[in-house]
Amino acid sequence: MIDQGAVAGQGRLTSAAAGRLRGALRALGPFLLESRLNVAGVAIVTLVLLLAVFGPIGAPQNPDRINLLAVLQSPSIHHWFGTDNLGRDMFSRVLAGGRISVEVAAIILSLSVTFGTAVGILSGLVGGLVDEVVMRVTDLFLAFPGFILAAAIAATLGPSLQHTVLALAVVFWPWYTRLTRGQVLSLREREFVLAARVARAGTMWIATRHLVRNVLSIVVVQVSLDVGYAILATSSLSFLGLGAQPPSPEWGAIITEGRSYIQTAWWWSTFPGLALALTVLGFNLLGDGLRDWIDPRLRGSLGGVQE
Amino acid sequence: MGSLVARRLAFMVFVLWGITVVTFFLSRVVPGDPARLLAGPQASPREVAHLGHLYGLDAPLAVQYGRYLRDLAHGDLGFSFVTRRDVRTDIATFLPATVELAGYALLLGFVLALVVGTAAAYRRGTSTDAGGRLTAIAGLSLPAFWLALLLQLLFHTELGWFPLGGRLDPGTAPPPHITGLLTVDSLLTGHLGDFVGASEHLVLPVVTLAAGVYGLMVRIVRTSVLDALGEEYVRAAEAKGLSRWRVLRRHVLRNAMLPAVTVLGLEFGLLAGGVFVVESVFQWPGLGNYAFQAIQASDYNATLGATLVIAGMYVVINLIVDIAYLYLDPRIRYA
Amino acid sequence: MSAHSHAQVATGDAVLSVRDLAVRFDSGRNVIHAVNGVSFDLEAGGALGLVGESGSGKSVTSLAILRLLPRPTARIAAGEIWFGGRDLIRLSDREMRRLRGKEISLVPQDPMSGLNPVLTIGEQVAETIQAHEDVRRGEARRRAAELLGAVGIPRPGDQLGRYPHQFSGGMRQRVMIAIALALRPALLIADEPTTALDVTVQAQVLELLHQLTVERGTAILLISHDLGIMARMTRQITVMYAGHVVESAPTVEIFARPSHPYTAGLLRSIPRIADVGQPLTPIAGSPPELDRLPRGCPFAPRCAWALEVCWREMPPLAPVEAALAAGAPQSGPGAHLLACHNPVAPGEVEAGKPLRPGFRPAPQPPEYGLVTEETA
Repeated sequence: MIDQGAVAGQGRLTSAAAGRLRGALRALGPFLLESRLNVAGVAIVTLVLLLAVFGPIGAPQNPDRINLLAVLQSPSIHHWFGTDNLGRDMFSRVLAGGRISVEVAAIILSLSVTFGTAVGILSGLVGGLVDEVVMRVTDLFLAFPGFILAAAIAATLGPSLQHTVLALAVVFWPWYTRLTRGQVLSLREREFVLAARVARAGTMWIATRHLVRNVLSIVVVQVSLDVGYAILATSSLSFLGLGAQPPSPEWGAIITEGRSYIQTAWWWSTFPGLALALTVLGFNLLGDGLRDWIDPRLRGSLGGVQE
Repeated sequence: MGSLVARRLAFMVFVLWGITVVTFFLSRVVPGDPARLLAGPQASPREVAHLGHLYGLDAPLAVQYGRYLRDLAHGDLGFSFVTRRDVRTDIATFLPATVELAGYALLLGFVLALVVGTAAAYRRGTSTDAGGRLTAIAGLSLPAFWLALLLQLLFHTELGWFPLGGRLDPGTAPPPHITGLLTVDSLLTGHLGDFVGASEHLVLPVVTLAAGVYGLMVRIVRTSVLDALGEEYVRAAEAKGLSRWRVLRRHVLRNAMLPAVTVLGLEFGLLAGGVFVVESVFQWPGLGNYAFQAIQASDYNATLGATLVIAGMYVVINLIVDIAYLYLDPRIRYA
Repeated sequence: MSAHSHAQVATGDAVLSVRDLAVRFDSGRNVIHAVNGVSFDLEAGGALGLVGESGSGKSVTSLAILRLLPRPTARIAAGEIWFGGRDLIRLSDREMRRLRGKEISLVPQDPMSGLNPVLTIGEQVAETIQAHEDVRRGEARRRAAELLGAVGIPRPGDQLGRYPHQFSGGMRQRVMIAIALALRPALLIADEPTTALDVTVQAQVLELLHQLTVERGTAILLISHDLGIMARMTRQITVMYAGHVVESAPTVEIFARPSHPYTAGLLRSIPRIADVGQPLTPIAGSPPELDRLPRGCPFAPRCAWALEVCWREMPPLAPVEAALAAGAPQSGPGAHLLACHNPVAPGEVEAGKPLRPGFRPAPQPPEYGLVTEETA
């Protein structure tokens, strides 16, 4: 016997999700109109994501293919970004590196956001001693300069991309804990008490629905800002030799490889760096625009002269 | 106010202790046998065991930590087998270089952020504002190491304006050591040639680091200046007939600087990370480079010591900034 | 020290004369007509009240006089502001700055935020003096202490080094009055001077303001939504609605014979002790959006006296017949001006609507159009 209520409920849920998606897409127009920088951000991010997903498939050559006959060639029609000292096509390598960066950022942020948000919300809801302890631990982690901590962890565990991802997840999570806990605390004062008075049974449900909605927007903004930093930090650690190891086409690793050849083969380090800079720039523009977009909605724009 | 300061201090002590735990933990949680790593791959098992015993690596972890803390209390950070010196001495040698570099970067970034941020706020919505936002994001987005390489390529290789790295030209003797900051020492002792040389070498690395400082600070300056401009007292000040410059200086900036000060602590964290990379590229003989090379060589005492010092400084500076803020805002000072 | 102000004006001449002032706010998305053709005169040493709800344009008018409108959004679109024989709109920034604080000063709206929190009150009073006169710090401080004493702050010498947050709202307002009167201006603009204060403190501050301005011969332009405080403080009242002047008369007249329906409404809405237990009688409806002003009288939608012509045509500001008959002048102080097609008759104020039998306010016509906006 099919539970009509459950089916109907599911239908309602998906239509609610679809509605939110439609709402988000509808908001895209005005968002783009707000500033040319927003357009740039969205454009770059879209491009990067597309290239990350489809690029390596459509790449001209295998990024790892060694061709000793075409060593250290400057950019040309055959090799748009030139070749390195093993004759590998730089353009393909940069594309492959793009996929790595996006994947890595996704993993780092999934880990830290999931863990950090969960801890933050729980800590805010439960309160009391648990909250105190969690906050002290979070503050402790936040008291470390992030990059140093990540470098130390990566160095200890042994240089590799996986360890770098783990290290950065450890660095990022406390921010989300603090963020979400703060939100929960401020919301708790309002919604919770009210809801508790209204309907005993519905308290948890109402509270979580409201909470999730408010927390979500703040988390989304933070994530969009953090993607850029995650990619940057990963590349920086790879540059120092603590992250991705050669022959990985990770951007930071390529740049450090090309460092000794910078005088003779400038393209080796320049193009991946350019790709890296543009990618991070795009994500930062997007995140920045999102933050400006969401904030005035909450505060109320144009504090002009009334009367 | 006094109790606020006391609480901050207590927290700082707690954090410093936590740092020692974390760094110690990291140094001992190494895959593989630390004693063997110390001894090197050629050593015989007996040598490894002997070394392990010598360094107390065979004792239980808690005991090792206890000894570590005790040594720390005496200012003993261990011995670096790479440089063959006390880590403490190494750090004292390399710290001033980093302080000089980071100090100038902070100054440059801050001043630029102040100018551009204020201009962006006053000309809100115009192209100046958008330009400011773009440069801010650029400053935050450009990878420091890549920017460093690019600057080297452009200003050294192509244009030959600035040197490639190091603090002075090779073969040049540094001025007499007073502070360890070459620009200061050379001025104090009248070695103007050294001053010029040291400054030349500082330009590229300082600019690289300052970009990150600027990127973070300029948006905050803009926001706080905008907030201040919206306050009634600015209008009241204008109504008194004060010149725009006076209003800016005395009323707008004085208030806008308060939130900006709180960010200084964060800036230092950013600098700590950036220093690592920038010193590596420019071969700058500072703490970041030292720490990095220690990591590469698996020199645990050195790594530990350097990390501890940098993290410790970060915590202390944050505390100073926090307290300074309490002091600067009269609403808190005279609650 | 002379008790007269600096401006070379003989008593009885207008120290401030506003003519057809129009101010526009252009935010790029729409144009707000904040002030539309406002005129009034203020005699030297006189006291004029600008009354109206939020959005009536009264604060904007005061900012326009001081030329402190936010640039570039706001713009004085038309009109003249005569002060000391000069049209303020034509003055350069520098010349205007010399007037501000010295000849024309402002007591801003909010005592909470009108003082800079990070400067001592002594510094804030002294800087006014030092901005216009070449005095040394010690001298400026001495005068500051004197001023604080004049506004009733106890032990002023000790208070100079303290910060605004250490004072109560009433004290802070007194400090701002001290700052405004420091250089004996010819004109003082007080924008909602008591709105943010406790009722008990309000009376004290108003009394202080009254006493000091009379002492120094300073003309005062009092801006408020509260008709009640006007009774004591002003001799003339100008009522504003949606950026227009709807009625302008001596204070006594406004209270005794309000002729505009809006003025009548304002008077009715003042709660009186005798009415304890009665429901409040606000004016129904809300002020119009200032970016879509209709063709006719802006008050028509809320007016119980509305005629059909009110929806079509903006009534001109003209002297009231009854006042002219009683000997009032056609313009200037003492005149009773009104912009209304269907004035309130005596006795109708209490009722809140016209007493003519069978009168119904004209309904909104279907083609009630909006004034076409000129693109900014």
